[in-house]
Amino acid sequence: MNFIPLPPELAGLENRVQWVQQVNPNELHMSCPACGVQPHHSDSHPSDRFIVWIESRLSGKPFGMCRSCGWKWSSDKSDAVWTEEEKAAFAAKRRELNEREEQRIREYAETVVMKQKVYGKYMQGMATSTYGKQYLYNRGFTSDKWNHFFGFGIIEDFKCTGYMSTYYTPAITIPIVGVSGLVEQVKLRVAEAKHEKDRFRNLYKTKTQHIYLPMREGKINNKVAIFEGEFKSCTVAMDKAKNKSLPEDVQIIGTQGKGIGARMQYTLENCEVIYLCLDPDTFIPNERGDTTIMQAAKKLGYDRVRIIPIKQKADDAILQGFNLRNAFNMAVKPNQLGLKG
Amino acid sequence: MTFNPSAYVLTASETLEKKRKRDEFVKQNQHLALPFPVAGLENVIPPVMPGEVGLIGGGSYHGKSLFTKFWMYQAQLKLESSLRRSVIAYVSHEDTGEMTAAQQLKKYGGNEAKYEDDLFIYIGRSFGMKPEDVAELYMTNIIRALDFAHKEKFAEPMPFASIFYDFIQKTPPDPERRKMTNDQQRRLQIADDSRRLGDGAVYFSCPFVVAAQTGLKDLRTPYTKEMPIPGDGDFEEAKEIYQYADHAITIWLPRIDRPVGTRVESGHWDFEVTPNLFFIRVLKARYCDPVEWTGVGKVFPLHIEKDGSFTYDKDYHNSIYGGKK
Repeated sequence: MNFIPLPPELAGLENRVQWVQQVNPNELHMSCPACGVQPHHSDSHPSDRFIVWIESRLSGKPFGMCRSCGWKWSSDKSDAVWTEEEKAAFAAKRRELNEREEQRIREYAETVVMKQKVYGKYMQGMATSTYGKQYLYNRGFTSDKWNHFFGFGIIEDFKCTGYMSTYYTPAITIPIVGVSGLVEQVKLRVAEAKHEKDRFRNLYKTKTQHIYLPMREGKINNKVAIFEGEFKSCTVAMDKAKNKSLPEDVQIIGTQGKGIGARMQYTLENCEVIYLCLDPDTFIPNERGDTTIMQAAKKLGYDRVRIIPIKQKADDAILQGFNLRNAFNMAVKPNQLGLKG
Repeated sequence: MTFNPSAYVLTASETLEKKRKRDEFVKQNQHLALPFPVAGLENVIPPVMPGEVGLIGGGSYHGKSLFTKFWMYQAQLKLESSLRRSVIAYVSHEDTGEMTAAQQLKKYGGNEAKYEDDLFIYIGRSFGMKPEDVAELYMTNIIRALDFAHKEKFAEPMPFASIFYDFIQKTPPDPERRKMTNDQQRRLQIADDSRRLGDGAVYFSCPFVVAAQTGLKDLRTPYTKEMPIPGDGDFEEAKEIYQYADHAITIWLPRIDRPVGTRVESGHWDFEVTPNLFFIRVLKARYCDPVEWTGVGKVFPLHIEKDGSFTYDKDYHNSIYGGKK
């Protein structure tokens, strides 16, 4: 990483930001003075959510905004009352940044992931893999038709650089189809992981959070349901088709991990209702009393979030006969959970 | 509220109009009706319609709670298959939350996932509550709790598919009546609770099934002397319980009164008491034509199965009734 010292124009941010990176002579990325950094941020994976222009188009003065929390800063005021023109300019800038990011992801998908098309090779491997089929069967993927639709494949001897050791193991692959309908990533489920942290791997370093649409709608609907993990969202999609286990107008989205990143936020910004169906551990408060589920709800907007509290992981519950539709019918608002918000 | 006599004084034509409206209501709300839960009897014993109160009367240990929970379970299955967004509420002064979970789990063969997804609300005492908490669950607060479940428990207001109440006489008295000194005050309390339950059924627009205890000593209106299935005059402490109900059945578990193996002969009946033999007596079904609903006024033998369900066997019924053995 190429970190630089803060330029003199941004002296007001001194000691308030980390990991200052220069994108071009006018634009710098760094951690946010308001929402800070996440535990997973490090020197090799720095936060770049706070974007600062040394000369903003509107005022010609330094101006910064956070892609994650929306906090705004300029040399003479920080997140105070901004004029309508300034707000419009922020929104336009934000859209521009988002579009730039989407363009980058699209290009990578088309020129690297889909061009190489390794997921196709892995799919062919699955067609003849007894191990792979049995693995999927045990996880409730009993239909060849569905397995083919999801594009499940297998790497028989994936070299897993694990948390404790490096070893060879079979890995189930799944092409991650994003909002644009392109395969943006290939996700791996390490079948014989030796450590909990070894279970999932991405084949490509795309530097973004992928939004997985198991049913490949090619757009985001008005109502969405976010499930933690691609395989889980596949199980739910199958259950919805077979058992009408979700209301018809609710679109299923798989997210990578528990966190709600900037991309997820702007992709879902026009959704009217967002159902959050995360794993049970997201309801457990940390030492400060915060919970992942409430943090996710906050990022997406309390008013439009509905939470589906399930005592088990959604796919495990479905395999045991849990009726997900009932859980959706009994959804609660974040403030009804009684957790710290 | 000012009394409006015109709403109560109706001509024949106006009553006919009311009849048409009710027929239309019944027709349009068939899917919201609560059918009688025992297979084979659902077409002879009328369902409880939204806004109506169904009563299950029985003596202590005769299976009121068991039958109530069975009905509730059947209602749950019907609700889930309908894909409606509603919940079933269970108000209990008899069982605790954890006891209810244990009993309902049995019906799902111990599968927690299948119970956990139930569209179900429990209102009552549970593990960790103190006696003073229990005393707070008097009728006003029960209606409040139901209203909370209806309006505030979930993201959007939640309609009730049906409400089950176990059992009326065990409802704690209102605070102003806690120092009751005579039976009359107690009777008034229960009468008042019964009326408010009836109002609750109308307010929540759903079928309301209420369990009630019948006489603990001698019955005044038993079916027969040998088959003491309670009658309309046997509801403990207050006749209003029966009066406010739109539907009423009473139950009898013979093995509580007679040793297993005893032969009972009474009128047309001739049977042997078995551990799981159970009787219901259909006392009334307001608005229902007894010609159409042939079960009204009759007695039916049922069997309690190991999972807590109730079954009816017409052949067995014929074999023990009317000398068709």
